[in-house]
Amino acid sequence: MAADIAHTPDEARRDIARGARTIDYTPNAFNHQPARYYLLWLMLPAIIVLAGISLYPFFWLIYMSLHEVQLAPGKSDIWVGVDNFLRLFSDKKFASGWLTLFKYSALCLSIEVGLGVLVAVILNNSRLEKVLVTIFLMPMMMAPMVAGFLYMFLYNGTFGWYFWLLRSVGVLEGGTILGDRGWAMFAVVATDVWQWTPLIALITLAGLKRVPQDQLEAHMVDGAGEIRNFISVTLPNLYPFLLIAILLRFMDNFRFIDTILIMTGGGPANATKILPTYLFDVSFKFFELGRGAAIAFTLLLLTILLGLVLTKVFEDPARKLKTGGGG
Amino acid sequence: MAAVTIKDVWKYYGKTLAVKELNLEIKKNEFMCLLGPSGCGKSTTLRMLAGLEFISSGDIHFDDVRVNDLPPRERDIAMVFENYALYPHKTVFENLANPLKLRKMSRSEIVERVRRAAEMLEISELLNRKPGELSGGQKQRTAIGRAIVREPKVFLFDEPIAHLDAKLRSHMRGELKHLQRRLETTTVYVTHDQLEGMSMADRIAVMHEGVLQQLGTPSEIYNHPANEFVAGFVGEPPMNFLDVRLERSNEGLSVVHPAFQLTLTDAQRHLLENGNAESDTRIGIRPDNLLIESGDGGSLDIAGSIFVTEPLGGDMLIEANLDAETRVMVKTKIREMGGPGDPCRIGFDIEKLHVFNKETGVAYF
Repeated sequence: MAADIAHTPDEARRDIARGARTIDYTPNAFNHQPARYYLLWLMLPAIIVLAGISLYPFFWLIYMSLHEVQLAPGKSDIWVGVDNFLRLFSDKKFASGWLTLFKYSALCLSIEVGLGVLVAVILNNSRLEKVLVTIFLMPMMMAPMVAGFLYMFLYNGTFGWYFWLLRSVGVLEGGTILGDRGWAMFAVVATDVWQWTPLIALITLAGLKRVPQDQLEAHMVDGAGEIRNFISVTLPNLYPFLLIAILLRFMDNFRFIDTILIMTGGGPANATKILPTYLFDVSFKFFELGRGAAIAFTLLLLTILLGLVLTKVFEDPARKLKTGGGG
Repeated sequence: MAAVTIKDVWKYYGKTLAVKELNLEIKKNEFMCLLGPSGCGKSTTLRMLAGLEFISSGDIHFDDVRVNDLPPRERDIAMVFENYALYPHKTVFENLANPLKLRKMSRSEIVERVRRAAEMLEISELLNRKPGELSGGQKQRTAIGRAIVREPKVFLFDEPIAHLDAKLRSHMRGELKHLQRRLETTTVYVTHDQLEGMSMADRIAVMHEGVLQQLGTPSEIYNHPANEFVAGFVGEPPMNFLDVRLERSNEGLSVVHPAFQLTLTDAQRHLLENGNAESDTRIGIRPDNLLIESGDGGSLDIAGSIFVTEPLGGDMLIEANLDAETRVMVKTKIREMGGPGDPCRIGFDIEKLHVFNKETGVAYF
């Protein structure tokens, strides 16, 4: 038989009546194209909400960056073209904002990753792992603003515990921690490290559980010691996990200004004025919204660019192979 | 190339006993197989040899050197793992070169050695690939290659071919054996597949529940199993076991079963008398050592009926009922046997009979 495939129960019954022993029966509903539109309809509410909260502000940002935005009611914005962007080239605070941001971000990331991996390795398979992980997580749960206040008090020049410690040991000779150009940067970095090292440790810990035991053992039999083993087997297996951790932290560093705003507000003498704090000043202290939008746009662009570069650098060697990239 | 001595070795995991008082001497250049079902302590023993597990008590010597406290890298061993344990981000060449590189060999020496090992294993054309691009058999060859490049004192194999398909497995059995003879390196090979042990090893150590059951050549293990466990574990299809009584008659000592009666040889009688065998015992006979004829007019002693036949091509396995409760497996050259329920006659090759103590399982012969 096999003349044609039955699409309805009736057609199927017809085939059986003809003496078919097996039935090729595919209900029409599954062949219909409209299924795709159906899915689109289901997703539409989410798409509209997403567009509202991310696409609209994005285009509004571009609009603002090309205008001199007027705040007084009734006045319309003045078109200035790329003037806002051109002005950034001669803006010394813009350049130093970037420099400070890179310095801050690099310090935070390197200390957090180093410390986080170390903590994870120590925690891994230790008897107190579960208890310690819970304790380590606490700073992460804290609102950044609260952490900022906490550390501001710890650094306080009158009753701050860290201030007292540094003075007693003799490393801090005069002035206060947050009032000293050299110390202020380390103070804000320390706060970030305290709050976010646990996140990196946690992600790394999850990665450590996934390192194949037999590869470690094979490498030991091949003649490697503990440290060698860590470098050549554990670390490559941690790559994808470290990538996620670093990406998350790097983007946070570029966005979070809560702690810095509270502790130093960018001071002293712009020592901790990372670009986002400068952006905050321009937009919400000087209310030059157009220029602020231009700064924000460059920040967004570079964050995306750096994110892509990081992904490329840290690409999982094993995955690179599967996608046919490597030889 | 070293002799390996395992002396009074015990291994506990917490309170769980994994290996109990193991004594084993592996001779220089010998192919020793540790055979047993999963959880019998064979892999644990191998890992203690490799230095991947601590020894709870006892000593392991390589030649005269006590290696208990040496880390794996100082033991001069090479190991092939069950899951190959290749480094996924390294090419086949780099995988093979790894043990040499870690021992700070010169580049030219490394290239030469890897080339030689790759040629021996016929993976020369794969050297630039990564493990993800290899088939199971190729991965397995690479893992073996990583072991042989270094010419270590001892090879340790942990079920290296368990994951290959049946055809490749039988091919690799031959190759591994050939390779070991050619390299003349002491080898400890762990497997749960009795066929691998029988076909490759110089000697087999059968383990069960952490205890060494029997140590001997494949033929000793097969023909003279020390106890019921070894007898049942080695050989495919497994040995038939039947509960019987020993009775004296005018002809000598007989084995009496509700379905049949067999007179033992004089030599067998002596062994049983010397062993003070109790009258309730258990006999074992391999399917190969049972004879079978179709129909009920044959010359064999015992009348039975066929339960099921399983033709295997050259051979045929027949399960036959001797009485309502007793069923035995018979292996025979293929011929027309009839179907289920048809009558047949069965005979014992009395010389090949084994008798075990019913309580302890220890073999009298």
